[in-house]
Amino acid sequence: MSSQPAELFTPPPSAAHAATSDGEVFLWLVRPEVVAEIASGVFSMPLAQKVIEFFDPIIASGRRVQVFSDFERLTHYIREARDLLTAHSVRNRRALEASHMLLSSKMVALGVSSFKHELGDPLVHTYSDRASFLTSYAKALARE
Amino acid sequence: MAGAAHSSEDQVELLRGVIDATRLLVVVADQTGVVQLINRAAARTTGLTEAAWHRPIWELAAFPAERELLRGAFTPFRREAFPPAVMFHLTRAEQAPRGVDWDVRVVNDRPEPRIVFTGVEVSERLIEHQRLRQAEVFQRQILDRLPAIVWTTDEKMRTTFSAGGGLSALGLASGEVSIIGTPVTSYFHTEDPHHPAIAAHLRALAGESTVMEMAWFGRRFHSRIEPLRDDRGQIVGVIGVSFDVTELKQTAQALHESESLLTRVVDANVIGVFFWEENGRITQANDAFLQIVGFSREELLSPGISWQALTAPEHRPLDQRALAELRATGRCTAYEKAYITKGGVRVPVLVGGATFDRPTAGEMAGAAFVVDMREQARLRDAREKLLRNERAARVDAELANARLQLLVEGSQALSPRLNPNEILQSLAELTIPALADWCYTVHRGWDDGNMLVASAHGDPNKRALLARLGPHRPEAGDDEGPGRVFRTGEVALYEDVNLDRLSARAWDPGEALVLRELGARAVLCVPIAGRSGVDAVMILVSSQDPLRYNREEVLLAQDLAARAAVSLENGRLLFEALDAVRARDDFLAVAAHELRTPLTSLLLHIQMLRQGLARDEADLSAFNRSVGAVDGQARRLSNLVDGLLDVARVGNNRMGLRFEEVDLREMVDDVVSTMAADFRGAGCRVLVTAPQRATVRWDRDRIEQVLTNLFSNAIKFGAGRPIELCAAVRGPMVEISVRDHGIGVSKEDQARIFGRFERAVSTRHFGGLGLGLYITAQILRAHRGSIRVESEPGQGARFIVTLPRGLEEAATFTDSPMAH
Repeated sequence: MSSQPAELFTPPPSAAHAATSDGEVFLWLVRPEVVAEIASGVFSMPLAQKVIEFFDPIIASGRRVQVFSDFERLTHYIREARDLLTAHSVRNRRALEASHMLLSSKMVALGVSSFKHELGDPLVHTYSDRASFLTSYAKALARE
Repeated sequence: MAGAAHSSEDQVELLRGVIDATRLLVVVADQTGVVQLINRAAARTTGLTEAAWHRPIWELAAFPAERELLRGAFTPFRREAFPPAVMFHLTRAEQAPRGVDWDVRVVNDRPEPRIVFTGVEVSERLIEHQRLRQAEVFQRQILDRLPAIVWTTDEKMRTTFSAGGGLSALGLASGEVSIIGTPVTSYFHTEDPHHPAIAAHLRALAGESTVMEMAWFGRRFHSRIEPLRDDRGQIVGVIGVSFDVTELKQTAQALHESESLLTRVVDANVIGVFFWEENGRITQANDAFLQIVGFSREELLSPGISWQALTAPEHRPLDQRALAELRATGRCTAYEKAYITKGGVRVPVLVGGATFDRPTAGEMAGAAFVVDMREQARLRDAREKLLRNERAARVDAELANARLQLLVEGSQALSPRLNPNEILQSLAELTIPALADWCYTVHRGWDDGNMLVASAHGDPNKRALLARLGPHRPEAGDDEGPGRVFRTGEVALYEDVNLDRLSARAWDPGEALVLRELGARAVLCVPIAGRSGVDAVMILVSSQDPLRYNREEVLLAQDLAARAAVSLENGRLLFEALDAVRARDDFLAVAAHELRTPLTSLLLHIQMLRQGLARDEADLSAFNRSVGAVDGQARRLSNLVDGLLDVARVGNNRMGLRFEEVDLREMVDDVVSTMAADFRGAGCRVLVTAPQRATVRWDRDRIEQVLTNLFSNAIKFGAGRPIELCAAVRGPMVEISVRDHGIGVSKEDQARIFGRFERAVSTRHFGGLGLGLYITAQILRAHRGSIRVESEPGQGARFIVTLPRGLEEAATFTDSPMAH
């Protein structure tokens, strides 16, 4: 687990990582109940599978987590990857306390809208302002 | 020495002295081989006494084979067959035998021939022989180091000598004894005189030299075959020299093939080839290269053009790197660069090269191979474009799918809702984050005029801020923003928003601060249409992206707004339906009451008449009063039923109009006259202002009905006070107003009093079915006219009718929304 300050939303060396020719994802556990994620490029199946692989032990542990996803540099996604991740999230809704997503791509925003619709509004928060996103992240870290 | 006087003994003695004086060994034997004479040198060499050497000469030989050879020569003795020379070793007492090389001569001495052996000790000849032998060895070593074969034959073409390194290629050793005496024909496995090699030998024996090339044992030989002559120039055999040129030939062949291949490559013009020098000169180029660079051969080979200058400037460092590689290895890895043609066009090429010789110092020169990559580049560009298009198409398809999904989700979220507040809230939340960072919707309100607002923000840290934006009533006069959208019904998009300007115009100063904190770089205002204009505006805001909205997103927002409009309209229809049901129930209650009142009176008077008739008392005046009352109540009932029938006709579109020319003043006066009793009964004075001789073309009965209804209304609500009718012709239109000074109509009721079954007042205080104004409005509508009311509570009311003067065609009623 990382103990870096909230403003440093950067993956530690131990972060789970997957990369393809046009996309990349990092995931790491910041606190037992706080997960950080950075994805960039195109969100495709290998990245979605890495995300699921990362979350499965957390889900198995029965903990509920807040997930902070920095998708600012995510340009678009492959539909199958989004469907896979959405279905996994819906199945394991109980493990998700909240999902915070920093967005800039219009296409990703559309996809997140659908994700939000399927998952339920109150769980999903979206940001276009990095400072506000980091404020929520800092609040989550300070809550412990 | 004595002459003839000397005796034969003297001569013998003299001869003996001469023989003894020589260093040669001399042994004389008779024809049986018995030694007759031995000189001093021979005696010294053999160590034999005179008595000991009178025996067969072969017994002087040291070795059995020699003894046998000698004895064979004497047994039997044949002069002509006696060998001219022989070698054997002399036995020596207690010493090693000493070899002697003997010349043999048969002397015709009488009575029998003598055989004179004159010998030289072999040891001396051996020295000479070894010297020669050594020279031969040196020569042979020299020959053996040459890739050649040297051989000699005798006159019968039998091998007498062979040497040379070339023999090893044939599996033979230089000077191998086994081949001495072997006929050369056996080497070629034929005795055919036409065989080139055999023919050459035969020609040599005939004195002719031959130079030839031939294959032998799988190898190639370049041979010279000449006559072998002795000291006197006589041909005694053949001497041949052959050089093994197999490797040379193979190398030459490889070189030839390589050159041939290079030539074919160059001439084929499949790829460009040019020969270069390090100083920049091009010394040769094929047509393909000329085509690539667009120069003529003369231009390209002229000193004015260097191969470096052909390369695009940004790629010249690649040439330098290639030169370094060429200098280090003699070749360079193929690399891509661009040439600038004579016409200034960039041509992508693949270039590789090699030096002619590996340079150690000084200038290099070499060949360069150039592949025109234009087609490949075009294909690569096309492929990349295809990939880009495919990727873009996938993205577009996914965008379209996501938009469609958003619409589906929008329908799912909006369609079950009928409450306008819930619909607006769902709509606002639906747009986050798909279309906005935050959304604000404002609805003008239903008939009660109360505004509805709803908002949503994706960022939980800013939701409280957004809630501080109070209901903002757009003004119809607003040039921009929601007010403009309400007025025009058109989408308004604001990009790269100047928030200061927007805040100042659209919100109050306090809210402007909030707005600045929320952020608004792009704003999209989308109308939500209602039945009679824009009911609401959806305001989508992007906090960060000044160019957030493209055409597709505007359309998507409009589509969502349309779905919201349907839901709002459904809600409105439900609201109206419920209201209509309520009004109908009220009407039925009123109608029942209104019908019951005259009916009860009617029944009472009929009962009274019946009782009077039963008593047989003819009180005629009472009878007449009752009949008059019955008649009055029956008329009242008839009027009520007529009103209901009119409503039914309007509802069924069955009320036709009969247009005729009417004098306006005359018609007004007729109505006033007809209702004179009513005015008097209500204590109302009527003041009429109308133009004389103004002709109009209306359905007279229906317009009279309109005026009757308006007067009845004025009497009902303004009893005891004057009523003013004012008619005026205004161009093609006629305006008729009826003003009373009664209780007046509130603003809220003014919109609905023209509705079916509507009434502004309680039935308890004011009777009637509440159909009069509805029917009035419908009659005027059928005449393409209208009615409106101006009133304040307690200040009376002024109903203003506007009608076209010359409506000629027939029209029919429709139960459509009222014109106001």
